[in-house]
Amino acid sequence: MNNLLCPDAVPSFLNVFDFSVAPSLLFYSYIPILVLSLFVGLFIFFSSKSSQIHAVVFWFIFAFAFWVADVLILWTAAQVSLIMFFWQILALIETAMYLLGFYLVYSFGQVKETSWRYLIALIIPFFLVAAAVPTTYNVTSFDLQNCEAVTGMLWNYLYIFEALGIFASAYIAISRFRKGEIVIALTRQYRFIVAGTLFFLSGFTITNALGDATKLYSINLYGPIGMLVFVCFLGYVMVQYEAFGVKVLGARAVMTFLVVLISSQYFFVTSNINYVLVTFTLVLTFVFGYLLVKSVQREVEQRQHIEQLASELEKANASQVTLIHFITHQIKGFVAKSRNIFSMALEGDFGPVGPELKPMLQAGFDSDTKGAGVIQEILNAANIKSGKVTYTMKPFDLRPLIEDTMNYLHASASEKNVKVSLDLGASPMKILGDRAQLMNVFKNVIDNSIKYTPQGEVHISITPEPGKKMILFAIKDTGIGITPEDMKNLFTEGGHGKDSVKVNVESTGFGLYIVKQIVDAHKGHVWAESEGAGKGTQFYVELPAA
Amino acid sequence: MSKKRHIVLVAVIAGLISVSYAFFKTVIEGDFVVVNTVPAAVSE
Repeated sequence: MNNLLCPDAVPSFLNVFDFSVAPSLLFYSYIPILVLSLFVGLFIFFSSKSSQIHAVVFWFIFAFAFWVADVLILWTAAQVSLIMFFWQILALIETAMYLLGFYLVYSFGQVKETSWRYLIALIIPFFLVAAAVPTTYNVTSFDLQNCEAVTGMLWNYLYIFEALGIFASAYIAISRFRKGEIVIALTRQYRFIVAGTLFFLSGFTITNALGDATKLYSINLYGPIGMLVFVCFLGYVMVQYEAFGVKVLGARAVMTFLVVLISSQYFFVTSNINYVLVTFTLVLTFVFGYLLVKSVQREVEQRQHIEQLASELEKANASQVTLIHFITHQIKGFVAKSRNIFSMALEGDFGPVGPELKPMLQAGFDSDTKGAGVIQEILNAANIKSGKVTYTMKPFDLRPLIEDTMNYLHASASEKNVKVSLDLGASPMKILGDRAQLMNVFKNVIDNSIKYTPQGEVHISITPEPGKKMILFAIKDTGIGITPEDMKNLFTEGGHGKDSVKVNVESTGFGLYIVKQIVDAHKGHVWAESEGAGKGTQFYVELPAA
Repeated sequence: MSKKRHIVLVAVIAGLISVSYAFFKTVIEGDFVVVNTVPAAVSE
């Protein structure tokens, strides 16, 4: 009986296999899926040999690959004894695959480690099936005419066991989600792993059961396609949450997939010209695939390098902000103390001040006041940059705010003989914002216009923009203007105009940076327009109306 | 070796014994029943 062949079977390959009987879909769907899943499984296994979960994923995929190989043999083998043997072990492979799938859902992302007692309970079905493998409970006999094994009662229990396994996995996953028993960092990954596993296992059971019930085995061929979904989900999890090398893996997988797909055509081609064509395509795929993998590898290395540099830059920036905070706080303390001393001396707290000394004390006081202002500006910029500033948004009328700001800056305008005109409208201009922070904005913008207008005038206006539900603040001066080159750096951190320091020696370069950050936080816009050097500047601040 | 590894090892050995026995009985000895040996057309 050992050498008995199935009727009409011609064992053309190795005197064992006959590829003419099997449907084409078998090779096109099974072989690429088998290779791709094994490839991903091996990659996961070797990426962390010590990880238990990596090992479970690998063995789950491996059991599937083993099953696919078994089915390929069942379809192509010509010897009866060989087909009978591979039918016998199919039940054991399926049991191992379902147990591993269940264990994957059970143990992935768990806070507590699975106990060994639980593992024993889980493995009992495997022992039962292993004991039944060589018996007639598994495979009763061989149907020679149909060239297939006649399955025993074990298979009925197997389908029930598989269905129970799927329901138990789904139940465990849902209850874990509800109770929040998953490591928080792994919650999203868990969803994909569970969805992929359940999709594959249910599709697998349904197609197998339907195929066996109807004796239309072509239905069984669609079951393993679910593994592609599992592998895709697994790939997504890896790309989204894990290693850099995954992109290289993807390129290699595509190349392997193509090579296997093209190679599988060798099973069908009959003419010599087709052999040559397939070989030519295969060689081309190899060459271009190799180039693709190399270029992806280079790109990944470059990205890794850039990401490393970015992380170093971020650290350097953070320490720079801390340093600025420390220095400015310290200096602010010294300047405030010296300013107080000048102030007390001017008021005569240390005795009468002579007419010769008084201007010197006043100059010292003014210099310290400006110094404190500059330090405060740098501190504000550092605070805004590090996100330490909080905004209290309330509706208020913009007009009194502009008037208050003008009162504050009136003296510096008069000192420079710059004429300031206001057109604030008759009705209230209500906006939604943080009054104190916006005061800072308008102080900076108006002060800027006054400072950079050596002579002439500054015109301020506020107008509603009903169509956009915004309020537009505009300030036009007849000052030194801005060149197109300087315009690019206007709102950047520490951005100075090329000649601006000649006009305003105290400029820190942080004023307009602060303005932009605050206006952006209000979901508004700030911009400037100038026809060029010496032709004046217009600043616009657009804020949402309340 | 941990208890869990022991359990898995025992299961793997049990599986291998079972598969080896099936291989010996079926492939080497050919000890199985063949049914439906007469083609349907001939049985008429």
